[in-house]
Amino acid sequence: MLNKDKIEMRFSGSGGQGVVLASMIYANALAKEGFNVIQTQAYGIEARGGASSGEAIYSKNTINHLHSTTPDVLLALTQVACDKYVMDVKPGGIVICDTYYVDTLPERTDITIYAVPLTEIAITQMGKEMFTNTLSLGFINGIMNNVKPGNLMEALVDLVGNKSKEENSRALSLGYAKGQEFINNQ
Amino acid sequence: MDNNKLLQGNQACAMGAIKAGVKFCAGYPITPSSEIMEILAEELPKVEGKFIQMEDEIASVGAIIGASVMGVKSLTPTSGPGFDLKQENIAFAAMAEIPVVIVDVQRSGPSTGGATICAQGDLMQAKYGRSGDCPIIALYPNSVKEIYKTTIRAFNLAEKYMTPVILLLDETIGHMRENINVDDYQDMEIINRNFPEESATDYLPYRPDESGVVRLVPFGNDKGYRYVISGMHHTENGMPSIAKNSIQNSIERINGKIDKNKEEIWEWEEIDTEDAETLVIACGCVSRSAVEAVKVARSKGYKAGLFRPITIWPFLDEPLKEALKNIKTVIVPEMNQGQLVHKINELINKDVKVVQLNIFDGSLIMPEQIIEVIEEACHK
Repeated sequence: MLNKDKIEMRFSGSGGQGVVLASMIYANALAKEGFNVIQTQAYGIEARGGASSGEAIYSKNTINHLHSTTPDVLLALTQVACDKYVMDVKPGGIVICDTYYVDTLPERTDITIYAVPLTEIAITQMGKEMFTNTLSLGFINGIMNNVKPGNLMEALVDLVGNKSKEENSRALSLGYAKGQEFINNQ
Repeated sequence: MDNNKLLQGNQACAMGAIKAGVKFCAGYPITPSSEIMEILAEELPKVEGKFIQMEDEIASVGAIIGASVMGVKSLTPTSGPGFDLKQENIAFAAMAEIPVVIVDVQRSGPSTGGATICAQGDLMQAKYGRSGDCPIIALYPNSVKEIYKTTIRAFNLAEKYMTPVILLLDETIGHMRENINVDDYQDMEIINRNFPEESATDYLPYRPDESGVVRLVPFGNDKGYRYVISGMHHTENGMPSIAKNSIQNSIERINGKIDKNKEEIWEWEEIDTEDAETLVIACGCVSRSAVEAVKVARSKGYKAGLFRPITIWPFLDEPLKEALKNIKTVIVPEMNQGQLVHKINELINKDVKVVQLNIFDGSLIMPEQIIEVIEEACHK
């Protein structure tokens, strides 16, 4: 999937959903895989109220594009974020929409859209909405398979510590399995 | 090689400072620099250092000057309007020859401007922000790795030349995370202050050694070295004097020690300059885009090269003149209304065309924008 020199991932949602943290965790895991990585986030007015986002860009080569203007992969946890960023996605790219909050799916036909109720899974299977971001990380890895699940877990622990370690690990696995399910049914 | 850790630029600066031997930081929080003091507040006590959050920026730089007078390597991080406030005390440190490092993580200004908005608006202020002929060394790294290394270098230069050093960062690199293995820099040389050989009775604090640098024994020493430190023009014993020769001597010395040693202070990077006809001159975050732009331009057959100042002040006049030898067009992308370009214009032959690319709406100048200017310039 997405066999290219440099891949740009954008994690978007609204403030509080943990998308910036999600981008940091994924970036950290990509670094553990030996990739060169750049991780950035939107700050300030842009991040308040409207769409909040974090980015991870990775490559085997040196990266000098410090911002992602046209992501290959977009995670959209809200309708606002989806509407704001979907047109930026490169043709051939991937968009993951959390259908719990995204009612209107993008109409683009030149990208692959994964419609998955991430928040609903977090609420029903984890008992808490706050695991949506971790679950999303697992899901993205389930479809992209660009980091070892162990590295993703390690990256998560590096950033959030051992608190809720078991739940986070379960959320990653749940998300990963869901992602694999989508890929296998394609 | 273990290159699999990500660090934020500001984090790399704090860690570089610890590696350099910093034991004191005083600051007043301001975005986008706050992470540096947040981290040092936690890390300094672990190395028997101290952090104080002061009442404002003026007090912060005052506190680090005080600590440095006691012989302690010190820094203060700030940004935008905070950097404005620090200018008077930076001049004091320059005049009294006290080594300190001021980190300015640039943000969009003037005034409050935009706290999280990237800009390169302080290049000229770093040099000309103070009254008088005030000397300064200013360094401007362009990656997380280089921030770590250059923070160490900033302290080395400050201690070696007994002068304030400004470390310019920008919001983009300060807040960005990138791969680094700090073990790669374990063997970097750490320069500590030199102390005089003469006895306390013969000691003249402002009598320079052969290299033009003074040797200030830390205050509070138990060896009987006593002297006065003043921002006024002073004689070799440190006492204020406005005699013509002491005025001239002090201005010449504080500036001369940097001018005489500029070749050692200078650091820059050149990419593909050997046969270049179009030269991009860029620093900080914009230079990252310029590296990519030059690479792409070369692949399209354009004879483009990059000159990247890492030392901004003292300005790299001779190396740049050398790099400009066969150049027909110079492109200067900057995230301001044109600052670096003034120094470049001073050095340039009038046959050379200078094209400015100034973007100051907060968006990072991207490689594609520079490539477009290169292509346009080459086709005219």
